[in-house]
Amino acid sequence: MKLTLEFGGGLELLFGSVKIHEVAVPPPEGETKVTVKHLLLWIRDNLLKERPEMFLKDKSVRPGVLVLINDCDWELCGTTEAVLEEKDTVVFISTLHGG
Amino acid sequence: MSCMSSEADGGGCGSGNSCSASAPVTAVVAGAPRLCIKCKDGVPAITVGNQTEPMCARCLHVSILSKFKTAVNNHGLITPADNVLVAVSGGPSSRVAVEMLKEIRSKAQNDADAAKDHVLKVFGLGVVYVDETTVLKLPRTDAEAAVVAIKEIYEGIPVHVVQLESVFETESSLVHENGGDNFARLQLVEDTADPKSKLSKLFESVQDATGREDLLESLRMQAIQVVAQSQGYTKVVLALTATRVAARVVAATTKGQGYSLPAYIQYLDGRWPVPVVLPLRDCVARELALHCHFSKLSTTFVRGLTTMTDPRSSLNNLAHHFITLLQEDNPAREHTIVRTAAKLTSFRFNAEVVPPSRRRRNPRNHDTSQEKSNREPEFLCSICRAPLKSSDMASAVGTPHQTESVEQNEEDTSGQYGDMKSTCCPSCLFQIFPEEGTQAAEKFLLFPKTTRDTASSNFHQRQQWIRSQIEDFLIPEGDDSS
Repeated sequence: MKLTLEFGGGLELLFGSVKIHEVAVPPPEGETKVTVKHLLLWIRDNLLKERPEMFLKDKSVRPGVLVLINDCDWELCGTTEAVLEEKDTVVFISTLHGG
Repeated sequence: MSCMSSEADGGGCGSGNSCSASAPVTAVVAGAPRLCIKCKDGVPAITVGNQTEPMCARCLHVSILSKFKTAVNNHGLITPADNVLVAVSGGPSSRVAVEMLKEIRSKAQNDADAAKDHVLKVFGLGVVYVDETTVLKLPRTDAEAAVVAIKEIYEGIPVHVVQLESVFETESSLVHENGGDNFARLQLVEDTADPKSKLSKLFESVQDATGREDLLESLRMQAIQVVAQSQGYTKVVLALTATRVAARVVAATTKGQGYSLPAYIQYLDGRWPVPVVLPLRDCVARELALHCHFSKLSTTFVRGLTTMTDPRSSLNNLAHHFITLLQEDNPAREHTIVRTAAKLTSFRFNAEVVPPSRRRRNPRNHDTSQEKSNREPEFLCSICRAPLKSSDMASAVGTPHQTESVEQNEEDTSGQYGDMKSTCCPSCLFQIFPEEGTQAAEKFLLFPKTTRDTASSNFHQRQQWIRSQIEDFLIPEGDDSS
């Protein structure tokens, strides 16, 4: 599944200082859908360059990180259980260093 | 994903989508239509504002602007005669502060233009960015890129860029010098040391991570004040959100700064030559970051000290992390903490100039004029300007200047480190200036001249005040009657 990932608010430092990533995320074994939970695990294993604790906490994002799915707050979409579709854009914004 | 949106303010989650209804929804009842709670137009909500209200981007903007204007108007923070300087860091909070001020100013300008007599004033606006790359030891290219980005973001309004080391510029220094009669003395000499190296030396002398952050904050404010005074600004805006203020409350509690805490969290802080105002105090960082994204307000991330140190090594970072954890559990926690802390009695320099129509009938925490006249002056820490309790300055009275290994030249009465240590708050003494003896004498010389002068001035003011309180009981000189 092709997705566009954007990182802002300093999170890009954890991903090689690259803000926008065009990625192809395979669905988990035995499943056809890709949820945000699965995407986060995929990001941890394939994209994160350093300090995973600054981005993830358990199976979700670290507190202080906002997630938008196609410009919609993930809190309105089911957070980690939200189902992603082809060509979706997922934005991660850290509010920990904003000033 | 089914939550498709074609426009930032129009699209979003709607009915008939495949968002999981069984997922825990913190702010919206599962199954309920996710429409903007503010709009009457049935516009889909795309975010959660005010802790629990689903709203569209336009209503989020209106909500933030409303809170901003309420803070400014109800507390008299900015008047049409003011010249306002906004401290910016490249982040979303300061970006939103500038945007809100531009909106208000634009409307005020329209009103002024439409006024028949053309006497309505409109406040001036500028921004200041403090370049801290010297202490961060970043490549010069990073610093230059940050400045370019800041200037692009704030194109159209005056942008003042100031290096943090400017607080050391054009000053003489006190240095140790071995005199011909075999004792060291403090001499005022022309200082040729580079301000950058002075700043680096001072920072490297502070071992404590929290102390470095606090020192950086006070030096940053000094640099901002220099710009504000030299360029004729009458107010400095800090884009401190409820999130930051709540973190400050927690951090101050852990540092034993409870007495001085109220000074930092009021809407107005008049300790500085140019008063500092906090018009975003009622907004949380989350909604400002979302507003920047939805409104496509450009920001830039500039590395700071907090991003370059282990989050667990600094009390400030730990406090901020704690607040974000609380916010995840209950979005209203930040406001609860700020509201509770705001009930602490504020200081006289926090007094606001409130229009008569907006004054509260029964102010909770303002002194009466009789009480004010009986109170001792408010003395401030020489480093961080925190208000000092009487007990904190008890050692200032009658303390001989501690120069264990430096014999005092009788004529040299300025800048002794003992003055400074006795006029610092316990937090600064512990974190920034814990040295004693010879080390303290050497550390003292590393501080900017303004800080040393402030210390000396504070010390002598305190002595004069104490003397005035006990004057009736002092035996006049030359009176030897039994």
